[in-house]
Amino acid sequence: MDLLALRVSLLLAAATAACLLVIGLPLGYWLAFTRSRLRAIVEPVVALPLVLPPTVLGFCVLLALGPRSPLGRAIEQITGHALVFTFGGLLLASILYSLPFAVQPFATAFAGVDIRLREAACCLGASPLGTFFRVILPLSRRGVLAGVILSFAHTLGEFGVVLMVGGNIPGVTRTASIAIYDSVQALDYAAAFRTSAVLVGLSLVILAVTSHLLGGLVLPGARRR
Amino acid sequence: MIDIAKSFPGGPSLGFQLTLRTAGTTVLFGPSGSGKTTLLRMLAGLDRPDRGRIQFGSATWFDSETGANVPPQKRRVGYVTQEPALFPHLSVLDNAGFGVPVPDRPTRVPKMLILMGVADLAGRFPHELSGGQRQRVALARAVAARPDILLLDEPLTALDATAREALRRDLGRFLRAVSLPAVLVTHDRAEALALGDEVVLIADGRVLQQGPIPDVFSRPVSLEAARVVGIEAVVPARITGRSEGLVTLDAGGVTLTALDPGTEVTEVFACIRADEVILEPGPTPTSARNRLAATVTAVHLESALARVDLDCGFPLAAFITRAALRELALREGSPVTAVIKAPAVHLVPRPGDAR
Repeated sequence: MDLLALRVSLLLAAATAACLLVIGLPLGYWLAFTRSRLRAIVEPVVALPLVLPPTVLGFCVLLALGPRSPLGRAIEQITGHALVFTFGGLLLASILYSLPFAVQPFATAFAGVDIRLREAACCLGASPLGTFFRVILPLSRRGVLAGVILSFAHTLGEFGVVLMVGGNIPGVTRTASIAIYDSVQALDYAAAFRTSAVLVGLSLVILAVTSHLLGGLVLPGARRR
Repeated sequence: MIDIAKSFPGGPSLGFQLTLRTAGTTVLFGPSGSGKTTLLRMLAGLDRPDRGRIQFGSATWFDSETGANVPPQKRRVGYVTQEPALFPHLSVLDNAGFGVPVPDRPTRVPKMLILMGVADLAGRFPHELSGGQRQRVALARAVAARPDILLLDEPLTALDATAREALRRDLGRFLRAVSLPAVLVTHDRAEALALGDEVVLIADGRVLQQGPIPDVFSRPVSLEAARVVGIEAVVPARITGRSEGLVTLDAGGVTLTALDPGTEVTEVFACIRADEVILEPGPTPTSARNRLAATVTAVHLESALARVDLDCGFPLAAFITRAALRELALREGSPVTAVIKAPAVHLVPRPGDAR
């Protein structure tokens, strides 16, 4: 079993989920309530990773961050090193890859809050930000939790993006799914089985906890109260 | 001061011009779909008029010419809807304190809950309350935030009859206790009479008539206004005696008998519908119950019926058939006897009543 690779996977998943919480809340809020025409463009872009093969997404990120792209050169000049084949580059790619898994549950939950409650908060003097933190967010906590857990679990299982952007550096970018692939390539089925077993067990625990917190997975809220 | 217009694509267009009193309760009265709720939402800042101006005291809330539009947060209005929009994740106490700065909550919030009679529910959550209790909390919450004006959109309509009666009584007391100007939207006569000081009649997105409630309800200025209020005499009266399920009323010197409403009120409005008044010719035996000596003041012909306006110590109207009109040979100045059955005299508590 490759503990180092498991550690990289868990770290990457946790960091991605945390970043998506910060990015996803405002983005989900904007998508849920905006009347801007930009929404017609932003919404499909956010949803793109749902349908795109991970290798395509990874390849795009690789090109964008590589030394030949203006963005890649700018990052290299500012930070002193390139983002490709580093944990930072991997994190960026994972955030893009898991974006819809966080933003869509957030936006759906926000939009589901009764408009009369938002109006009541407005008339009681709450600013839009106050209304968000005091009314919308508490009433959307199941959706927000679902989004965070989904993006964590989704990142844990990613393969194609990591392969493209991260490479295979032990302790830095070599994740559990890459380690399993390597083990199978080397015909070390026992090692592949052990790492796989840990991932299966971990995923089941995550889903069980989610199910308990959300009151059901298939029908969230069906077992509420 | 309000002068606003709004139209809905493919729907009705509204145009309101009115000045509201700065004290007491103004009732916006009219049938469903007449634009009352939209007017209230435009006052609260939740809907935007297409054009016009809303002036509240010295503050301009909306002016389409200058583009001014004060957001709801800054208007300091207490807005209560038909379905009380309580925050389901907050207790009664936290709901009522939502619009109150945290340091002021311990002093202001419990007082409001006591005033609305829900202090013992402070720790409960909205889903544990009845409809009437929820509406009481919503009212306490709106007033606790210290608004400059209360906007009440049919706050009693969603309740069952018992809860509505009880809340109507308490709401009247509450409004007087907090002495805030209020605008109450309703299509319920009893609610308007019990809670309002002034009424604005609204139909098809326009103001038909405005004035003190008994005036407007008894003397609608137009046929349209009369249709909205229903043809009904509204007479201030005082209960002077009770016996055998009946009460005796003194209505400006005229004695009336009505069914005992059962509450401890003495100051009431006696409401008598024109189609429940029967006219008989000739002089009136003085002692008879609800047989009133009257003089005809006007006769209007309305399709198959005639509406006869009477003076019997207070203004009263009666609907009779054209045939009856001919038989009675009624014209202006004719003496006549108006007969009203006791159950046809509907009593509504008056807001001025000190309980």
